[in-house]
Amino acid sequence: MTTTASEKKDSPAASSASAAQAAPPSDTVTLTIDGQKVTAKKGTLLVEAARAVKNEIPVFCYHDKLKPVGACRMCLVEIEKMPRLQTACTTPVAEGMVVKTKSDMATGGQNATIALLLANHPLDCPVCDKGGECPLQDNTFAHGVGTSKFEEEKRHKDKAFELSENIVLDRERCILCYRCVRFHDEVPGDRALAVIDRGSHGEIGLASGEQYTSPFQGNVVDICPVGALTSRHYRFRSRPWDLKSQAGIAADDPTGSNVWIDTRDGRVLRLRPRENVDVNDAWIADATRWGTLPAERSERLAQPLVRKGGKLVAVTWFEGLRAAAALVRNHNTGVVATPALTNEAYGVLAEGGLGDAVSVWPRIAATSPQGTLAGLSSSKSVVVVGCDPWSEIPMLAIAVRRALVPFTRDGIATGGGGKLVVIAAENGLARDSAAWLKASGADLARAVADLCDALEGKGGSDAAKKAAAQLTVRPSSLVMGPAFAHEPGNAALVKRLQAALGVVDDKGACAGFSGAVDRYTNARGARELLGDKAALDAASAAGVLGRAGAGALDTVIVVGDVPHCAGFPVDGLGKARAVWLTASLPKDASTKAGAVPDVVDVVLPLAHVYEQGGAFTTLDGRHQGFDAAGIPPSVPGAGPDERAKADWYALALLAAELGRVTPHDLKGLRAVLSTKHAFARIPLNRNKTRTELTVV
Amino acid sequence: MSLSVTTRDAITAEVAKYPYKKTALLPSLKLAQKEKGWLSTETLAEVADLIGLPHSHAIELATFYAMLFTEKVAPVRVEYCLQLPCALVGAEDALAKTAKLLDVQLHGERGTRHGHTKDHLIELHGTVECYGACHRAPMCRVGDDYKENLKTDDDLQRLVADLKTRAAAAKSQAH
Amino acid sequence: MPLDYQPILLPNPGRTTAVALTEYEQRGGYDGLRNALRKKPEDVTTMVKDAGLKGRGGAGFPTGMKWSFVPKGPGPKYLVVNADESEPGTFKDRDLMEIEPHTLIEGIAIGSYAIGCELAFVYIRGEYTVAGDRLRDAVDEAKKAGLLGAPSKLTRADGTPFSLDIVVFLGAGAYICGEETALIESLEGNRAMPRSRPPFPAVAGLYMKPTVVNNVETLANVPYILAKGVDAYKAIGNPPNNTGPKIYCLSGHVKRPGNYELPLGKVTLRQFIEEYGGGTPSGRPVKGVLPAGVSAPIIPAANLDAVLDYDGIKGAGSMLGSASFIVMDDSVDMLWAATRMVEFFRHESCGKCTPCREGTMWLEKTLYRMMEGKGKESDLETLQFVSKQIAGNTLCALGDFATSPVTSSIKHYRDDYLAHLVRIEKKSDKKGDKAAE
Repeated sequence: MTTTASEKKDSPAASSASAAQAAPPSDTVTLTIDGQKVTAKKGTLLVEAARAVKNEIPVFCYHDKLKPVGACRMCLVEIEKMPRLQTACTTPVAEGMVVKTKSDMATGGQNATIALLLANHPLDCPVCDKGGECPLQDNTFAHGVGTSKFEEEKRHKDKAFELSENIVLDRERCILCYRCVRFHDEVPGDRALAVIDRGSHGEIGLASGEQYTSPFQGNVVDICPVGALTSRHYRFRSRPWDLKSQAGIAADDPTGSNVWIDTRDGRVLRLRPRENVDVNDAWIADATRWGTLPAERSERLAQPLVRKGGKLVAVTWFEGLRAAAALVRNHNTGVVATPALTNEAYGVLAEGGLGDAVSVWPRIAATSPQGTLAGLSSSKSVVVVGCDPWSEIPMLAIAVRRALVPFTRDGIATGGGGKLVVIAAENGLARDSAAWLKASGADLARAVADLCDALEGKGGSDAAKKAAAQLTVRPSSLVMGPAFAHEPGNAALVKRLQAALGVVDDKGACAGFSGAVDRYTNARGARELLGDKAALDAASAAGVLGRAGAGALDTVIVVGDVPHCAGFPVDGLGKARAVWLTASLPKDASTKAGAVPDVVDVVLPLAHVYEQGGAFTTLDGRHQGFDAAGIPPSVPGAGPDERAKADWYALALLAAELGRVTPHDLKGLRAVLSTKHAFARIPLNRNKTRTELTVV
Repeated sequence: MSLSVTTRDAITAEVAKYPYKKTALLPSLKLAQKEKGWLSTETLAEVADLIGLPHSHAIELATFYAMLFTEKVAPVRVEYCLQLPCALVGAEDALAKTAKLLDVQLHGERGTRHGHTKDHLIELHGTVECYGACHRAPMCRVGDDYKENLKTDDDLQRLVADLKTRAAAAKSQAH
Repeated sequence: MPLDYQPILLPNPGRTTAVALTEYEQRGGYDGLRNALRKKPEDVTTMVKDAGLKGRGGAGFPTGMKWSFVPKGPGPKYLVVNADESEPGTFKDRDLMEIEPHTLIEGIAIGSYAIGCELAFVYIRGEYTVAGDRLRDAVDEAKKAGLLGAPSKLTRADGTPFSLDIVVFLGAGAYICGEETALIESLEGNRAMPRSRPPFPAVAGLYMKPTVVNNVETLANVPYILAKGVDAYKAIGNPPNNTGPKIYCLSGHVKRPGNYELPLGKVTLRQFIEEYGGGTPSGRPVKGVLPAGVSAPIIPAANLDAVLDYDGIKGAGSMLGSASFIVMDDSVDMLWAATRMVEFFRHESCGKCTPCREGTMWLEKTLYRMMEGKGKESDLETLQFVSKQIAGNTLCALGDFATSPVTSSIKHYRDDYLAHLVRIEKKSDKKGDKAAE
């Protein structure tokens, strides 16, 4: 936040004195808003300057993450020496400006906007999902006159237009603030929605026959200031006042999107972005929003299963753990951990709770990237090789795009101006790319070498020369797909490209970002906690799957589920029997054909990420904790013995059953881990959200 | 049904004309409409792709500007100005008489009327838009052409004869 | 008696064909540009400032001042000609472009030199295809003659070649493009929706570069200033506020509608209608006159002695605007007239901002109901209330414009509204059913 306020609202007299004493630095101006002196950085918009001193000017079209447009006229304020009311959302502060947001003239303008917006609004709040969290409702109560003179027939438009399988549009409720259209234009840049027709016929939509296919659709529901855009997944399911919001971290996103987990009676009903300007800003991908919603608790497996006489039978946890331990004790055992567990779970494994034979599967990059996503977003030259962030890690695509196109923070355009060169088969950022050298498979290495030649001034194809010419400004970043980076033959090439781009300076520091990006939630946590074991390919001769395949292991414990990947390493197990700790099975898994692979003898049900506590580490090394212990992970009424468990807890219980003592509570476990690992020293739920405004 | 090579070349030439390619969108949509008569979703997409813009831009323009059509229109489109300067000197009468001579039933209210001949070759509109021919009122536009000083029955007879000639030409061209 | 005045902008009244380059040069054409190029650009701006030329598009902003706002220094700058003449009752720019294209081109060239523009755009409303063709032809003529081009054959005062290309761009039907920031949006390939200011076009206009937007008639005034000098220009009209010639469009209930070029401030509205327009065809008295198309308050018959210039029309409670006079005799039902004008604004509202989008629709619906004979006395209050909610609260001036037909007609012709109210006791009275149309 760039705004500072010179004094607190409740002490106007004292404040003017202090403002007079301390001469403001030249990049600030001092103005008066409703009698209160405010010092703000030049360029700050009035609406933000007022917000900094807790004076909320009502808005609809203004959104601090989008370019101001001054369309809705809700924020009309009176400014001395100006004949007309001005919109606070488009007017920058000026020295000596005297602003009145609550004068008769200003409130007259604000009332007018409400009166005109409501003239054609259906006022169907009782059946509207937005009811209770609706800026139109709120502003009407605070700034409307309470009665309407409108006696004509209201305008009729589509009430439940299906924009996509996710989003429903009520065109009667829409107040044409254009936030949704602007979001797609400015943030992902896909311009997935359009304004159709003109004037009072205007509406949001697409050409007939065109599809709304953006991977960021859900964000328009969040920013819609009325109930025009609603989620089909949440429609009519709850009222906001019945929801509890719990801070969480996205279950599928290696960039670590911060989310609000909204629950009702302990049931997760929806996910929303939780603002964190350093991570996801105010957005999340649809894959997170809808793809990670837990199934109904009553539909999920909560009890362990044990194979008896060839059939899986539901048992108590006591029996389940005993059966699992029996498979481990006195047997050659290995653990396969997926790269989506909590750091705490990796901690139990790292502490040797289940023995030393631990491998990560599917394979992840051997080393962590250098630099940060913030560095990536402020790079002037970006190269993407062998992956398509847009379709693989959508929020990473947003981070890349910020380097290229200015984005809006607190109403002011910032960043941008970088150039992107993509060497890949697919490129969701094609419209923002300076160059796209299409290549896949073995051609990738050839294309990279070609670009290196051009960057080093040693020739290269014309296309590579053109691309290289775009990559002259530093800092620079390199984003690589894991498959390309894994290939041993590419190691030297990667080094050469890094050097040619100058991603690392003389002192070894990376101001941008450089490395392979795993798409799994917590690959970096696995790598940091499991060390060399994580770097090892599970299928290699020394890896757990390699050894099981060779017949060297009797038992394999598979921990977790693998989003973005075909389920379970059944082919890699050889003759070994398996214990599976999973959160993905339905309630009827024991009888449902194919739900549990034949090699599995014991199933221990895990809680959903959103129902447990722990920490993930983002692909750029940010540790983010979450504690959703308030959300019960199992069927109401079921005894504690029949509940699905947190991943670390289930592992700790199994370790205890094997006689290896590990703390059974999150606090105790984290205390043990904190001696070696930084993540455990950062309190859960202490993630930075919005940077607090500085009040001087 | 994609655009002709001529139109596509003309669009490419438009793109080259301006410092930023997006400026070429409006003239390009007009070129496409000139060929197709109207702008279907497919045509909009083709024009946007040709210039290298998201499709949403094309539909936004096509539905904003009155001279662009996103629905099929008759080959002969007649637009009578019914705005004040014309309306004061008999534009409403001229429109009504033209409709009668063409046996067109007009729908709509006040300043906005529309109707078409039974063979759908001629479309009649009354609009509130002023076309800048107030000194030669009443007037109408036929396609891109201005028909002005439509004061007497003879003037209207001549207009209708011209419309019928155009309709016949359009019909024979379609065959 | 009509004034003894030699027109400058449209020197050939009644002509319908375009003046070609040779003919234009024979009567001294492009002397203004040659004179300008012998001066420093900023001196050209000063001359235009001193001449007192005000924008002829409607707002009446001093042209030289507008030019002087453009920052000096490197980087592209644009001159954009607003030829989106769409105000009902206005047809002066059309004649200027169709008949005197070179006057405009010369004005563009002088303005471009003054502000440092090398690529100028003429944004012509889409319906004016003839004007577009003729202007393109004239640009080609001027290029061939070396008057335009990148570079042209002319030399600037600093010895470098004068370089200017002019792109003629046709719109596609949107009144709002007459608003300069909406015009810029349209030229950039967007929906023509006005931008919020700041930034002003002079700082960040077309493609976010410094941009001047001038009306056709404004620029057509410029060659004379440069060719004949500031004093000669100021001798025309009614200084200090009303210098130069003005084209007045006359339409509606007059015998001789058309464009009349007159010096500012030399005739009254009554003289104009009677002596130039020949009075009403019906011989009936004038009931009211719209002086700026449909965008400014109606001037009632009582104020016909107002002088035709910026101050005179303002004194009569209205605005000179584009100087498009629509005359209405006493047969006109002002509720009907107001409805037709509001229909226009409802149709042309771009929809970006709430008051204009929602307010024009509300006004139209209420007026329609009154026209159907279902009006109530409280509707007059409602119409004034809605007008008040729109006026002053919109992003651009279109919202304000939309309210003036309603508020001024209620003010001056309240009886016309009352005649449409539901009157149960007079149901049998045939006069009560006389609703116009």
